[in-house]
Amino acid sequence: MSKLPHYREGLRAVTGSGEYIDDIPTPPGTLYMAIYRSPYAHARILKVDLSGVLEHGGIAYGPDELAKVIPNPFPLAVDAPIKYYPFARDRARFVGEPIAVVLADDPYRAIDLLDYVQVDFEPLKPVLTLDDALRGDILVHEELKSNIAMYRHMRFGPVDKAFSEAPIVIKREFYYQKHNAMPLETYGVLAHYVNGELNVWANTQGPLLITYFVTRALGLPTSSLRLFSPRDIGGSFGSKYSLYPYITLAAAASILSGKPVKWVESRTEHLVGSNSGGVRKGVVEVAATRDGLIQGFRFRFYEDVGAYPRPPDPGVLFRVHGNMNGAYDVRVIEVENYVVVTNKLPTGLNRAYGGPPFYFMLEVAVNELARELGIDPLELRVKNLIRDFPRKIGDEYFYETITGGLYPRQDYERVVRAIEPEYRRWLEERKRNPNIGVGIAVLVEPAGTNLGYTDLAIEPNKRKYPHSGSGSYVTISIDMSGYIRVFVNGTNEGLGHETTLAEVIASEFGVDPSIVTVENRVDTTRVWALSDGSYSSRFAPIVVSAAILAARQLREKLTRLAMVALGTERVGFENGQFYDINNPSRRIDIRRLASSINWDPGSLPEGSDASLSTTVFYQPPTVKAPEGDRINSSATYAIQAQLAVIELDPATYDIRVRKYVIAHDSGRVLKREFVDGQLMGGLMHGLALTLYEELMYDDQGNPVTTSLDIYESPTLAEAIGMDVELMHFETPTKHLVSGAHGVGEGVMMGVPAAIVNALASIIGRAVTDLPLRPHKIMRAMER
Amino acid sequence: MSMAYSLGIPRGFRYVRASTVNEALSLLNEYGGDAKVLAGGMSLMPMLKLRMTEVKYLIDILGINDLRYVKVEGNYLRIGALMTHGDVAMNKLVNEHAKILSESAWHIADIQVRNLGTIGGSLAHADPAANYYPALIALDAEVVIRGVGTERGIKVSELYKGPYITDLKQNEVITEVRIPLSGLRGVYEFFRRGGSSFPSVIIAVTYQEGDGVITDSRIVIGAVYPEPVLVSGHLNGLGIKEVGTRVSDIVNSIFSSIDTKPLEDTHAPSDYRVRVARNLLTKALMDIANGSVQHLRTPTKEELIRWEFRDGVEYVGDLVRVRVNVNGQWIEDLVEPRLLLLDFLRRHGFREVRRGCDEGKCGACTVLVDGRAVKSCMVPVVRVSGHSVTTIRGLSRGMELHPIQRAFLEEYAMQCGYCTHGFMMVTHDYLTNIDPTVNDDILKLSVKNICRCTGYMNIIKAIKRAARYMSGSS
Ligand SMILES: Cc1cc2nc3c(=O)[nH]c(=O)nc-3n(C[C@H](O)[C@H](O)[C@H](O)COP(=O)(O)OP(=O)(O)OC[C@H]3O[C@@H](n4cnc5c(N)ncnc54)[C@H](O)[C@@H]3O)c2cc1C
Ligand code: FES
Ligand code: FES
Repeated sequence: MSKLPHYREGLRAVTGSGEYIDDIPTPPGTLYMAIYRSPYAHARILKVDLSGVLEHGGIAYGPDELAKVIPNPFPLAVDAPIKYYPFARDRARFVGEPIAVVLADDPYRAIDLLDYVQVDFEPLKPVLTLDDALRGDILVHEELKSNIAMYRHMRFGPVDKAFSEAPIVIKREFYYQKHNAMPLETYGVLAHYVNGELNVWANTQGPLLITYFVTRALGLPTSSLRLFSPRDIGGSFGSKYSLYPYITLAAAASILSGKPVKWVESRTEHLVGSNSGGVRKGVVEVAATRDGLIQGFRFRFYEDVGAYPRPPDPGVLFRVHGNMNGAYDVRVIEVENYVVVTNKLPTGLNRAYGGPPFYFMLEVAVNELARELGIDPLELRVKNLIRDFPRKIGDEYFYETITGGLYPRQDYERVVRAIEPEYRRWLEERKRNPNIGVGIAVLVEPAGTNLGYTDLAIEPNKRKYPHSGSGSYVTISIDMSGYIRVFVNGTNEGLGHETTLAEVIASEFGVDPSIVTVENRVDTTRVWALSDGSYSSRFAPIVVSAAILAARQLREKLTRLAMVALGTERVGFENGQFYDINNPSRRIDIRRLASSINWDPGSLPEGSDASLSTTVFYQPPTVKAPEGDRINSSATYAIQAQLAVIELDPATYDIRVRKYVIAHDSGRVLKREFVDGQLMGGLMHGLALTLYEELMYDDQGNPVTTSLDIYESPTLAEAIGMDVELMHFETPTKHLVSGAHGVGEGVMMGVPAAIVNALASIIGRAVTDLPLRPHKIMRAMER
Repeated sequence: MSMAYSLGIPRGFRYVRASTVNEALSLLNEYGGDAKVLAGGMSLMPMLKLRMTEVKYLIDILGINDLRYVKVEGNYLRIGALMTHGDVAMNKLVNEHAKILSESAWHIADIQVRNLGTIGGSLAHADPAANYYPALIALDAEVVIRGVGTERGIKVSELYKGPYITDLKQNEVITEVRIPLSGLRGVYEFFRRGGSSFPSVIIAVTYQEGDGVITDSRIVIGAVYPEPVLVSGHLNGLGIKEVGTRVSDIVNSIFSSIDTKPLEDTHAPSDYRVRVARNLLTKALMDIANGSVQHLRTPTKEELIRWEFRDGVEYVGDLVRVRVNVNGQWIEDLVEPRLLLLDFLRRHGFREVRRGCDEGKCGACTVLVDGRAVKSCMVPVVRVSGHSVTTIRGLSRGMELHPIQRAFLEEYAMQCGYCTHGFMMVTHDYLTNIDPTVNDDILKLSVKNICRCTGYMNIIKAIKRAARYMSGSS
């Protein structure tokens, strides 16, 4: 049998030895929490009676008790008089909003005890759709005096001139549904407040701002929270960032009861009460010349963030701020952003945050322009692609977008043309089979978020402090046997970080990966940055850069120690060994060197640094706080082109993907298998949202999507027979130490547009209302 | 008003067993409306777990092996009520005599559900989208129903009284499904949307012909209306070819004769459902006319899955004693009767088995019970007392990986790893008991676990690689 591949997380998965949140051993006396949630989308809470729970031997805390230990609302990113707590104090604003918690010594019993919670409500009319909300006759938050939590209007370049003089302006309206990228593992928290320390185990996506949010709400110092994640997390896709309200609730229950408290969410709870992307309505206008040269974009977006504008939202609108021109050289952009509240589940990070709704609308609109002008959609795109990258920063050249983005130099046309042969082949096939549809999407994939983009939610003159968080810490040390130990305050949601770091660092030292151990988990007792965590595909561009720098610094230290050991100033390094350049047969390998320094640091001459550990903080060089309304919203951007070939079933109006081609230049490829995995996973997530998944509500605001069956999540069966082709280009970028862009999100950003455009090639119109349920296609064909 | 969203755990119940039909009947009589029989549990357990229904007593009938048979007798194909969907799908006799019934069973859920779910249970549950009803009505089948001291036979079309309502009395059980061997041949068309569990449209058409002329015909439309709609004799007298030339008239007249309000749910609005039903009926009729009916090509077998009750049910107060052999080691405990096998395994350290949903769909919790893939979240542990359960740790030998583990690792068939155990376990059953060759069509009908990370491509490759390893052709 051949040697097994080097894939650490995979080995844990196949041997069943992964460690997820529900596997963390519970301290003795742990109580299990169940949450009583609002059955109304909008209601005043008149009375909460928990005596029945106590009579049945349980413990329960309602709004009054919880308010004592959760005195403060969470900080918000918008400037609005809205108070968001992890539970409803006197008014419930969405079905599923926590109102009370119940504790028991057995998880089954905790759930049973929910039956004895008695709450009297005065139901109010809910605000459910964007139209309801904008009408404003019923308010989700009375203090706000409307249902608009934010409005920003920004103009870049000569907008009026471009649009009034353009020979053609096309305009399309779009609807993007509420959905959740939905990890297979649900939320889980184990909280234990003891001696003034709040110990929390949670399957969060990183340390991030969790400490800031949770301690603020609880009125505790940030130093009191010791946050840990398990070694493995069963997927997150952004979703688990929104765990912090539940961490706060479980912590409150532990503070009140004096016991460790554990909570693992049910799937149903996850669907109604965890997190989702928002409904977005968009109006896109494209101004162009008759030969298809784009003159400007005009966007109007209404983002429905549910009952509370929960941070990091409304970041979903600004995550793409620096790349609103997509892959095109367009220097006129107008955007109006509305953040709207409704009586539905609050939103948050969701894979490809902000990208799928944005590129769906942009890339369908661009395609519609081509169709309207009768120009081949691929040629129209090629014509508008960015070609010049004139701005030099450090060793790299950039295209600076009108909104502040800095795209590093790449050959966009080469990547787009890469899909062309298949594109033409299937257009030929379309002539024979009219049920075949061919669609494309072109985009730049942003990666490595600049947290400063949330500042755009506030008018420039009202911003208090600048923000540009983006960097990561990596610590590397060498133990007494010469094993290299790496620590990252990150998380493993399946992206292969341990394996990748081991390989990258082993290659920096010229050693075998087997001598590198990697700890990649949240531990706020160790060094961390508020931007640390797994999101926005920041691992390859940022974390790996930090790791490489740390490895190089450690090597420097070792070189100096090797000079002592070898008694010479002239020391070389190769394949894990230091040698005397004057006499290369005199050498000492890293393990031997590390061992002697660990055991006998006293032998070093005075003044030498015996530390075998180094911690590096790496902030990507182009990430800065916004200037006015211009910001480089991501550390980097990479070109990608997608081709979707679909077949429409004339009997059922259902769509089947025959072929999907993805061409991209993601810079240096750290591990090919993992890049492929991200592309294929992103493709399925994209198809899931384009074709199937939607969190639906009835006209009373009750969630309808309460099961996987209703969610229509694709299973293995839906993937059989799909032919996927991946085309990698590899131009290492010079502005990042790792040379790598992100790859986790771009595919999902492009799929909705590629599929809608493919369908438009069959039925002659773009169905711009997601998901593409077959009855919508049937009706569009009838029109 | 109490609305719970923390679901996935049934309310408490008392678990009892019946080893014979008479015992089941007398227990049903004794407990009155407080009891239900538990067959495969693939409908009842989700309803209990989602707390949509409640029972005081669950009478486990899975061990009544007298109700597991298939035979040709007295001009009928006779099928015992406890025959599993998997057996209905694969059994040779069913495939020979009632191909569309086999096809309807292949379309039910996945391997795990088919390993436990039973034909009698499906009929008794009477889901309007259940796969069997249209097939059985088209085949003009009957059921045998027994009560204490009574036995009656009625047509399947009369058993169904409405969504989740049947002609069964509380103290009766279905014991047999019988299909007349009248020579009806047929077509089964099926539409299910995305990863949803149940179909949105089913069309079953059966007919007999003599000298190119149709002498008898039965058309059934399922999942579209609150009840399966039977149109009998509509094609009689038509020449086979005529069915094709007059297809739109035929379809129009059939649908205009139906004045029931169509169903509407999140998967499909009513007008769309009807449209698809018309299209699929048209397709079915054209296939008949053109002689181009395509049946699923599926593997068959003769032996049936059996189920033994082992160990008695010993109560200590409200708790019940269980003993399960996990990976070769007996584990004993006193548990609530409702404790799910999933939680039992996890509490005893088998944490490789994981929970991903409340409804029994995702497959993350899959283990082998007596070598067959079962979703451990759908089985109260007391049911499997005395039986053996295998997790991946029971397949690997020490540090040496099982070929399935190796194949999954080599194909990078995981990301977060949360689904991996369930996938490997169902793959084991699939390759061992269903289809060692991994035909795409069979795989599509069999493995429907959910993975949110990988996009499935590498898992499909891993299953194929594992098949090569297991057949020795690496
Ligand atoms: C994820 C999933 C997907 C599914 N998808 C489909 C699908 O696509 N199509 C489909 O048709 N089905 C589907 N099912 C349902 C499945 O077919 C069930 O197995 C079936 O409906 C019930 O059979 P059972 O033996 O499991 O019955 P149980 O769940 O044990 O019982 C169901 C009901 O029938 C009663 N009952 C059981 N046996 C008898 C009997 N012999 N006499 C009288 N009453 C009896 C019980 O008391 C109970 O009320 C799915 C199930 C799951 C979990
Ligand atoms: S099927 Fe058992 S947990 Fe999902
Ligand atoms: S690998 Fe994460 S769910 Fe499958």
